[in-house]
Amino acid sequence: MTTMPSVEILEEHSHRQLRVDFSEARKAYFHRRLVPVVISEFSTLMFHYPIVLVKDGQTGKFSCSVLLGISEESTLLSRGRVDDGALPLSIQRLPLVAVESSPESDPVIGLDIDSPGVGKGEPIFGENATALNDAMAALGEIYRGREETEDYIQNVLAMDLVSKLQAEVTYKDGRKVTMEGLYSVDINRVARIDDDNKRSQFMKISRYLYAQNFSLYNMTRIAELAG
Amino acid sequence: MGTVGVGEGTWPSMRTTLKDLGVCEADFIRACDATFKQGARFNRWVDGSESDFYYHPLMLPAYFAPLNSLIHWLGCDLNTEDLSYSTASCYQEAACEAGLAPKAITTPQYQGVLNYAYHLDTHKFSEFIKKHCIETLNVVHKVSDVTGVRTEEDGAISSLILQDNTELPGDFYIDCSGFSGVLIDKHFHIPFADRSEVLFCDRALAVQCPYDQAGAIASHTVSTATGSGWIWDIGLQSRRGVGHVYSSRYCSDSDAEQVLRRHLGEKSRDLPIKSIRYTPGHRERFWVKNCVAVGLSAGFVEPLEASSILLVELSAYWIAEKLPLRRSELWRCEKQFNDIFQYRWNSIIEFLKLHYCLSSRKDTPFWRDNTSASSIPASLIDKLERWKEKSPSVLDFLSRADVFPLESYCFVMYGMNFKTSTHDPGKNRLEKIQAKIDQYRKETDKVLAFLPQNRTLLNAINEHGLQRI
Repeated sequence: MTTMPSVEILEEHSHRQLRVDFSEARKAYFHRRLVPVVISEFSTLMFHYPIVLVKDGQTGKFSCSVLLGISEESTLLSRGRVDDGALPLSIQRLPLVAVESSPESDPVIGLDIDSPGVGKGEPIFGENATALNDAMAALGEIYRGREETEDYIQNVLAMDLVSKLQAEVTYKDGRKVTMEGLYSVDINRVARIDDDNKRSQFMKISRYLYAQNFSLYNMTRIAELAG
Repeated sequence: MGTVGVGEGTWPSMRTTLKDLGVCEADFIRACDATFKQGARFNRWVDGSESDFYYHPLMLPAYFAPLNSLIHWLGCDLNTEDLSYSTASCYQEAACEAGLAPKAITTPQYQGVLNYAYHLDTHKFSEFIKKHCIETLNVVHKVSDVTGVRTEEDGAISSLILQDNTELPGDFYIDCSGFSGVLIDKHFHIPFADRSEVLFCDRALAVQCPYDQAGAIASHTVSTATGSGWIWDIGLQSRRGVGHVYSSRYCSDSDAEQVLRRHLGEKSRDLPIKSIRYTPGHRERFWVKNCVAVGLSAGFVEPLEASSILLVELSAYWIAEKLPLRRSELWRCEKQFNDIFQYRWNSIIEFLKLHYCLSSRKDTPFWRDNTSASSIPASLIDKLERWKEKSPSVLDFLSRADVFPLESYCFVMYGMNFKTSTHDPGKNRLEKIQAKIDQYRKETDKVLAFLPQNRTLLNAINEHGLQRI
């Protein structure tokens, strides 16, 4: 079950003494099966994880995520199969969160004080300046990439390029697990685009589309987790 | 031409129809006040008692064993919970009783975890379809009254004379003029086959009831038998549609209204009631020359199994699929269509009669006469005699024109305690059936845990829509 994090707005004055171990904080997501991503990360992530589309359980809307594992017990990150340099932005920004007070104003930076990395390590506004800046940069990129990622999803849906991912993993003991609820782009359908407007839309998003398609080779890495 | 507005229930075929027309399911749900329908709950049809009910769900029953063995299991000591045929073999009944939707917000449009149809507001639906046809499918829509008909030498219609004295020529005409039957009746004078000797109901009182609060919406039609007919209760998003279908031979209009108002309770006292009169039956022929009657112009029987809108869908599909390239070939369609739809009307009337003739109610003349052999079609008597000796089989339903399949007959027959002679398949087999039913019920719990409440899903669809995949 996911619980709502306890979030405080980050302020230099009140958090001067607060210690944060960013590396520890990031580990909080290492056992997640899916981590949301934005399209600006596709070019990096495509070499390490399958980039999939998943539906939100409350709204049914699609979002982009990387698949980290078959189950939360065993993931590419918990098994150390990916370097820290290839972490998705949603993990790089931990334990920072964006806090939106109203739809009209920009969000402010908050801190998840329940994160396992908070209260450990170095003072957040001292020795940790570089790590803090990196986390803030990741948070900013996620925020800026949200809209263009939604546009990308709307475009691939409108072009009928999304298809259900058929993925079945066989464990050593013969047990089979079908991974449900995963979707991806089907590059074979590109040839069906016969409308000029759609073709020009396709050109605008093609690099993300091909990156996402390429990323599916990493499904073998997911399957290897069952071994 | 006004919309009668009685039929607010549909069949699962409506999903295919809407999809084929290129309609977005969420747009349809929003515009037509539509909700999900997963079957019908028949109250007080078997013995008339307060606790008497059975289900005709839309999902096919699970297969545990040959029908004979399952029926034997239902009547044996192993059935300690006294499970009914539908409770044991189909978890859709449990979903309906729990007020659950047949799908989740993540399920693509027109797909279901469980099979489903819709309840809808017919007035809104006709406006929605009209708009879609005009704006998306480029149908030319002209509104006028037909004042005359010009014919060719062979009697085929060459043009319609409209109220503004314009003439509308055409190759083919579909008479959708409702009860008035402007072409099939007024022009061609095709006789009407009155079937009231089998189906007694010939009147309906319909009322629209607001919800007390935005609470649960039933995901099934509730059909409650009365002394001289039955009451439908259909939950839409913003209101309920309730009506009393009754037979004027057995019940006065004022008594029928009283029964309806008593059913609805004190809150219905000031709600306006719409009265509908009809003769149960159909045209002797539906297709004449270059004209075919579809909808109420073809016929009407009580909406107990939402057959009216189904026949419209079946007719439209048939016409679209079979209309010949040359007018000279229309006569072949005429014969084939008339044969098939005559068969379909008979099979619908027979299936509706099944709901009445198996009842053990004897409390009113309406029920006593309904169970009298003289009112039951010979074809139905013959089937029931056969099925008393041996459970029905798929081999009894070999015609592709059959409207109600074996499974529908089983839900109604065994829901109404129809007795079939069975042989004992042996203790081992019965225990295997028991184990399969136990396993099925465990799976039921998992499926039900995944499904949201009907209203919760409808609210989510109104806000977020449904994905196409």
